[in-house]
Amino acid sequence: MQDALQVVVGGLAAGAIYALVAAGFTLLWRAARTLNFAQGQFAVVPGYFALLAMNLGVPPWAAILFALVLAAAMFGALFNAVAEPVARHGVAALSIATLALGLALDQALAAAFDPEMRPRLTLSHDVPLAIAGLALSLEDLAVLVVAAVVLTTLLTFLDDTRAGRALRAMMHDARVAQVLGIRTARMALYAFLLNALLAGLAAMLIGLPGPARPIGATALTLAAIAASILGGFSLRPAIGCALLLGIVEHVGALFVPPAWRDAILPLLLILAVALRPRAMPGPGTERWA
Amino acid sequence: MTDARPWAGAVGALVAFGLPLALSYRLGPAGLEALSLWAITAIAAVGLNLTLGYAGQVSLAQGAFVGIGAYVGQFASAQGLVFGQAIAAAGVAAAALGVLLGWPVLRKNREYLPFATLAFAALAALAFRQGGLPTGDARPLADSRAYFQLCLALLAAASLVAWWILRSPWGRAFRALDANPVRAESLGVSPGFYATAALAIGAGLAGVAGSLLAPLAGGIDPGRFGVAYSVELLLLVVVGGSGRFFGPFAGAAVAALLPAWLGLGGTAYLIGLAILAVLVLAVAPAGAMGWVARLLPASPGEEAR
Repeated sequence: MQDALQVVVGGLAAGAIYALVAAGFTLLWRAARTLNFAQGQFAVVPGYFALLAMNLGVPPWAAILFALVLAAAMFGALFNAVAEPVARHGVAALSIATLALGLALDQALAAAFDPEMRPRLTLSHDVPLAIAGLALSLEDLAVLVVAAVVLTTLLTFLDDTRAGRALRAMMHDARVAQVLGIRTARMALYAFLLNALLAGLAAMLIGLPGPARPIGATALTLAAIAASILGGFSLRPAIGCALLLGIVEHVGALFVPPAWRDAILPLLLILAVALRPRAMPGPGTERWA
Repeated sequence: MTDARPWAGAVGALVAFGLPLALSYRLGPAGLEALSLWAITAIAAVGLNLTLGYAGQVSLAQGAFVGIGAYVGQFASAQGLVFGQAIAAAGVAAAALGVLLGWPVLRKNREYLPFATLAFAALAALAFRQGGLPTGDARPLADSRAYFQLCLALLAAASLVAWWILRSPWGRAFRALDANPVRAESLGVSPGFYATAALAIGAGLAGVAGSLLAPLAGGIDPGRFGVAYSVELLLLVVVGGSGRFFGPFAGAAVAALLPAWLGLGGTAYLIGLAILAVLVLAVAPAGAMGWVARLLPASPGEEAR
């Protein structure tokens, strides 16, 4: 029983990371008409930035700050240099451009870093916290707390600030938003920057789950897509589905041989596509080619 | 393109097939191997061009279908089938999987296809790596020139099939699906059926390409058919010219020439290809062959693409 609960908490921690990338994926699609197939890479690259800074002797908090700022600057610049010009040729063209970006980032990371050298921020592996008889890892709890704070902040920003409500309006109908005087191009850039921050924070949290297996870029992309589809490309449902996805994945991993654990997420994504018979919301009426 | 200017199509065919054939009599084994790889990549790209370029369906599983073709072809050969039968079996198996994957998604919500194919590609890559499938024996080719000419003949056959389909009512249905699915449906073109057909035909050609790959490479490299390979094929079609008949030939030529030209390994080539593809998407979405077509005098009735 307690073991089962621990697995669930571990799954919840993974789900919290998925929730960050899924929220960013949904936001980017609804507000900036971008299906970001490089979402996983967005959430892996900043981890390496932090690692580089820490290897230079920068204290962890400064390294994290540096990585987040650098990631936001990099992906913001990519928005201006790539997304804007490609978006004119349609949604499919932009999706393919993100695939190209993901491939290039993957290859660059593989060439620049030793695959064994993964970004990892260690709190303390040896001191499991004992709460109500459960041995919970400090890392899992930290992930949950940070993700909860970040996502609450995001939702509050979207609901209660002027810029956030403008983004909300764009998520519903970009054309009407434009007619109402919202500067849609700038809002799309904000969506990109928000996504870069969300994915960057996810990258920092991926560094935390210590002894567990690291999450790869493809897995993150698949999780972000599956949660967004199951949540109907709405933020709150997508976040909930991401948490559920993490739990299902970790519980399912108990019944699957270790070599085949990576099959769980793609299978869940195929299930999500099969279970979700509704048409894709958002700017889905756009021409696809 | 071929319809509006028949001479342009004839010149294109002459360059696409005559030039490599002439080259094959001048090159040594290494060059012939590169040429064979070009022809095989072009077969897979011709298939993906039907799916993506003409029918407008974004498939991220073309590389997985090539892998499936490689394994099925290898398995069929091991069962004692003739090489021709093994190639056919690989094509049919990949096409059947294309129907199984495509129909449930395309019947209702075509916009989910990239996601479903991405998940399928990830699953297939895992199965190739972990499945412990037989990879075949590493036997060098007896006659690399004859093997290249076989690949070229199959590329010609694949192109003929594609040309014939594109001229048939199916081809017009594909283009209608790409141009305006709602209107196509109101005219009686079932989007789900034709989108599935486009995916399956593309997958079948990928399977044929895969079955040719294993003997050339001396066995199957299980790590080769990952998601990155599917993305690579997609980018090759985009760079060559998505929806242009000879686009895949140009795209496959990029795959054959760019690594040699850069003089570097696969990493630099893939990064270069990605940058090239983004440039093409941003500046000239018609790709290399679109650029060639602009140099030719326009003919009346040429549809603007």
